[in-house]
Amino acid sequence: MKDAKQGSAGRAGLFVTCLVDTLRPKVGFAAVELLESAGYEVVVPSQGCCGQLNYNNGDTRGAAEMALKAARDFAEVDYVVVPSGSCAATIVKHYPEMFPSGSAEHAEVLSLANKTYELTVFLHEIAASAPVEVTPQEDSDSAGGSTLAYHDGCSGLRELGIFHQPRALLESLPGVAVAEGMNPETCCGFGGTFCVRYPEVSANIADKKCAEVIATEADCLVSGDLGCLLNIEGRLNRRGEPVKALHVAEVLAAKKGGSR
Amino acid sequence: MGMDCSSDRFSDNSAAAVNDPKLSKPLNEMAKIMPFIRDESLGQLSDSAAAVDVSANIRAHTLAHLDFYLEQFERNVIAGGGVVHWAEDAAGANEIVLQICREKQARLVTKSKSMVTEETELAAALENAGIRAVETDLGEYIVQLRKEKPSHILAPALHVSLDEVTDAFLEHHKIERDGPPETADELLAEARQILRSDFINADVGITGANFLIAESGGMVLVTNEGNADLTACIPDTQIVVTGIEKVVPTFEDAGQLLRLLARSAIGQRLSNYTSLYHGPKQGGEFHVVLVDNGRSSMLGTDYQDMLRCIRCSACLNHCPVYSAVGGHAYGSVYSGPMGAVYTPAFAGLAVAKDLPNASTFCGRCADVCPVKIPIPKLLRYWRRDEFSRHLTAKPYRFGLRCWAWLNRYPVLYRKGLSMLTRWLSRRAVNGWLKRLPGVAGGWSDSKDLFVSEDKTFQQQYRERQSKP
Amino acid sequence: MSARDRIFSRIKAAREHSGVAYAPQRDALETVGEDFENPVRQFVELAKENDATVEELTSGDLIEDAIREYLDRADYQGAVMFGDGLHQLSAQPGFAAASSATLVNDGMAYADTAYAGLAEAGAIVTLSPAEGKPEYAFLARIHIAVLSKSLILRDMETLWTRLRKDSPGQMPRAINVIVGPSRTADLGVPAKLGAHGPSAVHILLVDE
Repeated sequence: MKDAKQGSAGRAGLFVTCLVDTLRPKVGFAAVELLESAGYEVVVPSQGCCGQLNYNNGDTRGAAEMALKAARDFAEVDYVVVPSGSCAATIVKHYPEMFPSGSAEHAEVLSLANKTYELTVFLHEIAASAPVEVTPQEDSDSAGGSTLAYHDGCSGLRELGIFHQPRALLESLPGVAVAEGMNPETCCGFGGTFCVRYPEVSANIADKKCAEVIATEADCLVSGDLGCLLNIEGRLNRRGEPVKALHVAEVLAAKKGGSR
Repeated sequence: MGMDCSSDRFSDNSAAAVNDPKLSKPLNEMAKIMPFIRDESLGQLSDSAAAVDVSANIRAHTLAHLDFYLEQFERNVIAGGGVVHWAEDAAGANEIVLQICREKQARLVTKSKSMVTEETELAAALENAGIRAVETDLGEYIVQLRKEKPSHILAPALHVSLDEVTDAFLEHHKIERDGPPETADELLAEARQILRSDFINADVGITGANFLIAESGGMVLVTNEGNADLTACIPDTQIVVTGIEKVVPTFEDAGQLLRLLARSAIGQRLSNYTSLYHGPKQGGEFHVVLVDNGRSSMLGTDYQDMLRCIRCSACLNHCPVYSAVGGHAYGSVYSGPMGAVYTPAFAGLAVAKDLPNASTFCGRCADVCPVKIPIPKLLRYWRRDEFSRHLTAKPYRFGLRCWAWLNRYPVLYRKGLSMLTRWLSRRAVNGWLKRLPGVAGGWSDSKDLFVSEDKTFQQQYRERQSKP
Repeated sequence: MSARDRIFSRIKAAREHSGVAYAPQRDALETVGEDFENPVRQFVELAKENDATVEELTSGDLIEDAIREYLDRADYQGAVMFGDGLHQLSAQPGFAAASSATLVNDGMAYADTAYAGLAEAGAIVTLSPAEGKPEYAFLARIHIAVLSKSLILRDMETLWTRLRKDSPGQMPRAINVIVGPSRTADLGVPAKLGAHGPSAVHILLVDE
C-alpha cells in the first residue's frame, strides 16, 4: 500500500458511481473538494460500476465480477468514499454476500467493504478534522440561507442507517435548515430498472414524493442519492413544477458551477 | 402448479390501476393510516424489537422442525376426537372437503376467511357440486357477490365503494325494503339480516386457521366480525382448511404471535375475537385439512423464510407499489410484497416473474414484518432464478450482460460513457432531455432527465490531472 | 405412499438438505408483552376503549337488578337468554324467554358469567364445553358478561397457565377471547359495530 501523503489524514479513494460519472460530474468534484478540505489525500483510480444493477436484476455472476474489479481498483487506498447510499450499501452489505465465506475473493471484497463509506457518513463520523469548512457564497448555486427538502434514499436509510449524518452536516451550515414534512419512510419510486420497466407505477409513486416536496415550500430539494434526485426533479420538471435540486455533496461544498 | 393466476398481466394491469381514481382514494388512506396505527400499537409493548425477535425465532424454529410439530398436532387432534386430512395440492384439498360435505349431505356451507381456500378455489368446487357456499366475512361476501377476487388479504373489498356495495345488495338480496340501503349502517344491517339465516342453517362450517397449536391440537381463529366463530360453532361439522406451515408449538407461542398479529395488521392489541377451538361439538365432527400446495417445496430452499408469514398484511400496507396499484393488479390470491414472493412459488416463475421485478427494493416491508422475513432478499433471489433460467426479458438480459462486459475493459468503459454523456448533452435543451431511447424510454413517458455536462467525471478529472 | 407420507418425506429431506440439526427441544420461551401497573384498571380502561361498557358491582346479589336496569336503559324489550353460569336467573320474572326463533330474528340479549378477564387487551374470556353453545354470545344483539374482579388475569401467559390447570388433558371445545362489540371496517372507517355479532357488550364487574 502506497504511503499517504505526509500530513494527510489518509488516502481516500473516490468511488464516483456511474450515475454521477455520466450525469452529474460536479457532484464528484464537490466530493473531492470536501474530502480534501477534511484533510485527506484524494485518489480517483480508473473505475467502473459497483454492479448494483446486475446484482439486483439477477445477474449475480456479472455483479461478482464487477465487485472483484472494484476491490482491485481500490486496493491502494485507506478509505473508499461513495456519494451514493445505494452504491455504498451494495459494496458494504452485498459484496461479501457474493462470494463464499473463506474464499480469497471474499477476503478481497470484504477488505473493500470494511473501508467503504457513504460520503456523509464519512464526513460526519470518520473524517478526523473539524466539520466541513464553509465559505458562505452569495451566488445562486449555493444553498446558504435556505430551507432544504431532504430526501433519504431507501438503501442508505435502511441498509446503512444513514439519516442523522446528512442532516447534522447540512444544519451546521449557516442559515440552512432541513424542512419538516418529508417522509423518510416513503420511497420516491426510482428503484433502478423499476422506473423504466414499470414507468406508470414509478410515476405514481414519484408524484406522492413530489407532493411532499412541494408542500415543504423548500428552496431546494437535496438527496444523497443521485438516482432518487434525478427521479424526483425529472418528474417535477415534467409536471411543470420545477424545483432546484442538488446533491448533498454540492450543498456542502457550496461552490459555483462545478469547476475549480 | 398449485395456483392459477394472471400475474403475467401485471404490467398492463398496474398501468391501468394507477389511473383508476376509484382505487386511489382507499389505497391512499390505507397508506396513510396503517403505518401510523401500527407504530402506535407497537409502542405499547415493553420492547417491540425484542417481541419481533422472539416471534421470528418461533416461526424459524417451527419451520425447521415442521414434521415434529405437525405430528404432535395431528396426535392431539385425534386424541381430542377430531380427524386430520392431508392434501398435497389444490385438487386434493377440494376433494377432501367435498367428500366430507357429501357424507354430511350438505346443501349449504358457511365459509370464513381462508386464503388457502382461495388458492384452491374451493368455493367454485363446492358450487360445481351443487353446494351453496356463503362467504361470511363481509368483505369476502361483497367480492363474492361481485364475482371478483379479493384485493387485500385482510380487507378483501378495499377497492369497492359504498355505492357499489349498494348495487350488489340490490341485485342479489331479494327482500322488502323501504328504500335502497345507502349508508354503511344500512348496508351492515342488511348484510347482517341476510347472512343470519345462512349462519344458522348451514350444514357445514368451513374455516381457515390463523394458527394451529401442536401441544393441544387446537386451532386459533382471529376476526373482528365474529363471522368465523359463527361458522365454527353453529354447524355440527367444522372443517378447518389451512396450510401446513401454520402450526406453532405451544399456547405461549401463539400468544406471542397474536400480540404482533393484530398490531401489525390493524393497530389493535388483539382483534375483536380471538378464539381457540379444540375438537368437535358434542355429536359433531371436527376435521382439519392440512394443505401443502407448494409449501414443503419451499423448505430447504432460499425461500424457506417466507413460510414464517402470519398473514398480517403489514407489508402490503407499507408498500409503495401496492399502495399505487392495489391487489387485483397482481393477478394472484396473494398480493403486495408477500404475494410477490409466494406467487412464483405457488404458480411458477414463468407466469409470475413480473411480481418480484415490480419492486423498488425500498425495504420497508422487511422493516415492518413481525417475523423478520427478508422480503427484498427473497425478491432478488427470484430475479436471480429468473436470470439463470433465461426468463428475463431479452432487452434487459442483453443490457445487463453488456454492462458487465463493458465494465471489464476500463478504457472502453470510460470511452463508452464519455460518448454517451456527450450524446445526451447534445440532445438536451437547457440541460433537459424529454425523450430517452430504447429500454430507457419508459423514463421519458412521464419524466424529464437533467444532463448537466458534456463530459464524464472521469474524463474531466483526468484532463485536470494532466494539466501542468 | 400417501399424501401425508410424501409431505413428510419432503419436509425431512428439506431439513437434511439445509444441514440444520434436528433439535425440537428449545430453551424456555421468553415472551415480550406490555408493562402496566394495575391489571383491573388496565382491563376496565381497555374494555371501554374498545366500546364495551363496564359497570362495577360490589356484590353478586346485585347482578340480576343490574341486568334489568341495563336492558331498560338500552330500551331493550326482547328476550334474554342466560348461559349456564346464570341459569338461575332464567326462572326470574321480567325476563322474556328466548327461543330458537329469537336467534334467527336477531332479537336476543345473552347474559352469562365469563371464565376470566384478560387485562392486557381489555377482553373477556368465555369457555364452552363440547355440549355448550358458544354461538349465543355471537348471535345476540346484546352480550352481557358477568366477571369477578378476582378472575381478571394479567396477560395471555397467565391465561394459558390457568387453562392448563383447569382443563388438564383436554381443552374446552371453545375458548373465546372477546374485546367489545363485533365490528367491521369493510364498509369504511371508522369501523361499524354490530357486524354479525353483538353491537353492545356490557361487562358487570363484581367485587368478590
